[in-house]
Amino acid sequence: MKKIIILLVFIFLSTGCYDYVELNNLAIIPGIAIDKIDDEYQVVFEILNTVNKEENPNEEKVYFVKGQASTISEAFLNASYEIPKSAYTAHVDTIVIDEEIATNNLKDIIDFLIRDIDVRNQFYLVISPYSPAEDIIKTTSTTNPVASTSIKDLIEQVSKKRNIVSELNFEKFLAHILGEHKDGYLTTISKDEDTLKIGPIAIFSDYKMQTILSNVNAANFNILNNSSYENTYKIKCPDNAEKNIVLATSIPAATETKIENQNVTFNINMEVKVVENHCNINFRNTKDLETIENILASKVQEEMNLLISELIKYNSDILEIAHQYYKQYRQHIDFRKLNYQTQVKVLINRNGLIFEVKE
Amino acid sequence: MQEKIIQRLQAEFNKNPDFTLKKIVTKYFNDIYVVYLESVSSSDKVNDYILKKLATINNLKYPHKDNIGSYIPGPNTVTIQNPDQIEFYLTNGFAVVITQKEILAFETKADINRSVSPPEVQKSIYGPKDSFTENIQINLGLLKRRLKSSSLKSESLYLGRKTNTKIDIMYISDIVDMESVKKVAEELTKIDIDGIIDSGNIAQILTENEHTPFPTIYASERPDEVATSLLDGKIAIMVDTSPFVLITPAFFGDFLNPIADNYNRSINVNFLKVLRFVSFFLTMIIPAFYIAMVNYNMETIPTSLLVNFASQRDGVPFPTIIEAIVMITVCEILRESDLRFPNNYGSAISILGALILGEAAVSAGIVSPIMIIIIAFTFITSLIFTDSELINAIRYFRIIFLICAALYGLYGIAIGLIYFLIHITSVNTLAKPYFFPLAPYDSNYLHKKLFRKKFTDDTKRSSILTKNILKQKKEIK
Repeated sequence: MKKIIILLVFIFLSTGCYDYVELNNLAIIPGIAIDKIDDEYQVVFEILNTVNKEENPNEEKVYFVKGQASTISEAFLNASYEIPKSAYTAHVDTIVIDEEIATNNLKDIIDFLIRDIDVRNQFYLVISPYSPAEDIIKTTSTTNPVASTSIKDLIEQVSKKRNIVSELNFEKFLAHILGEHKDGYLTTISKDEDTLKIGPIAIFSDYKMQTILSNVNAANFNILNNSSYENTYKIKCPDNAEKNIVLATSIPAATETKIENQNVTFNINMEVKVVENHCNINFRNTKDLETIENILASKVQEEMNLLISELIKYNSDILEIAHQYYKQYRQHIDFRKLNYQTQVKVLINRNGLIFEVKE
Repeated sequence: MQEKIIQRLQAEFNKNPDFTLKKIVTKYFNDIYVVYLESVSSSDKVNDYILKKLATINNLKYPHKDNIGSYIPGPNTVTIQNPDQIEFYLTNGFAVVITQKEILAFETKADINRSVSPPEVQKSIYGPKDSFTENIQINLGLLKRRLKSSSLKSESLYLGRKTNTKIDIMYISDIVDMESVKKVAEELTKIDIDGIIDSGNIAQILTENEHTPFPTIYASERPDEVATSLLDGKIAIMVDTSPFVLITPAFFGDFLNPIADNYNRSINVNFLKVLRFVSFFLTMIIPAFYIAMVNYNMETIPTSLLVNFASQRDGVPFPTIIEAIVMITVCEILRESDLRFPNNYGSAISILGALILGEAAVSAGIVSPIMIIIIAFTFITSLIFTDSELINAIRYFRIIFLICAALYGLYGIAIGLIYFLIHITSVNTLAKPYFFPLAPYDSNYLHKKLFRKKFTDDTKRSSILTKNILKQKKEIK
């Protein structure tokens, strides 16, 4: 009897049923687009169509509703009023924002999203710098009927192949942007007719977007950040500037960052393999290979220095140098005041290189 | 006195057409009455053992013995001192011979038993294929074929004012805890009832103080299982006219795994044991889990699956909980009707059930396809268990989990699980904890029932059942 009483006390002291909702009364929202138009926020919800596909095979997979207001929360509310069901944002995969918001209003968006208990922080926040976010979220095709899901898949897949993207979801982005001595970065997206294209990362200083890195800089940032998978380098042949040799990393590059007083050194170790060879190289000659290695090392070093200059120029500490300095020395420092050096070691994977293509 | 007894018997058995009274006039013993019930006594045996022999007495010149019993062969002869006992012996297949001086009962039971057949409920691929019958003597014989030891003891008693059913309490004297035997005997002796028809009646009487839907006494139709249990230190209760022998104490793990596991290699069997254990929880929780996930905790489901569920539920007018309750009820009705319906009608019921539960219900928009799958999976996992009491207990907790999930989602399931654990750990069987050997933990019994060791490593009995824990003196190689 006592056991039942204890159980009943448990049950009745806690509330229940208030959040009961039938599945077919939910409007599942996988994607949201937020634009700033004439000082007003415009929110577009991409909603999955859950009608029975067997009975209605011609129905679109998604539909869209729009809401506009001077504040972001009102805009969300206005958009939800357009839906005949209960808006369900716990499964949001992607939120697209336009350049205006990324530059001037990101703080408002982040504040709103953190406070909203329904939206989980596992989605990807992407920037559409060249077109309205609404256009991106409405880019559907027969192969990609749900734009938000295809953006998410693109980020996850492309980040493994072309290292210009950031596989940072909103939760990790928050850790950067809200953390002291850190700055955030986000992936950009654009559209080419009906095709979505992932672009290089955009860097932030505080809550403001500063610039979009070039592909090369974005790839080098990922190397310095130890989140690089594959990189390809084309270098001119030492004996013939008109011909090239193409090298690709065979394992992810490893970077070690050392901070000693005011000096920061990036030690990069790269192992590469020859992918295309148009040079006259004797692969059995160690000296020839070392020459190529040195050329590549110098190239990478130069590119890294350009990247660091760019980050200093835009005051964007996405490498978390000031944070690492603080961890080591318990002192706040402006990362721009430190001296940077890059040391690159390249090793060409010798296995399989004994093959030579006869001319 | 003889006349009075005869008149009394005629009055008592009036309107019993099988009551037979034969008077034999003899020279030396005056009138002898032979009384028997034709339905339970064999007329041939009465004729051969008693009537013919009594007839030959008249041919003797001098009867050389006073005692009429000396003339009548019969392995089981009882001298009845109290005429009140005549009814008992008559109804138990004895023929009663009433003379002027004495009343004798000779066993002439008719063979109205069915033959030993394979078990119908507790089937197995390997292992013995005989099962108990309704005759307690045959059942005793089946047991004694396996336990050929004088330490196998039996305490008999008769219960039921009208049925006088014979009950045998079986145990192995040098293994069992005698306190448990005394307790069982005491409990049985306290029973004052009109009639005991089946061992199920005894089981209910012995366990009615335990307020639990779980069975706390095990009913087995397999002699090998009863023999194994006796060797472990348990007590078996045999009931005449019942093909099920009760085994006590019966723990939770005893109901999950069949005895046939003992005849297979432990490596192969342990996987199945784990599967059964998991199935036990799955069959209780799956419908509740589905309701919790779909109505409260949708964030736990991947988006594509959520969309599939939502589109399947499109057009279904009832809430998910109502769907679940309707489908479970229909399935339970189907299960019951399958048990009751005569086999001669073939598979009509199964086809009807499949039609109702499958295509028709979904097409009519009453239930969603995913609910059919959930309920089908629930029932498939419950089919692993053959004990009907256990299935009833599972049903009880399934409903509780369903209600908890419908009210509170995953939190409700957690509350339900807490209640389940509190309940099952507070149930006792013959004053021993029911959730043994999980709580309290006992590795010997655990390795016997829930996760078997190699047969050669199983050298000890559980200390909760017996003080004689050593099974084998030498290691078997």
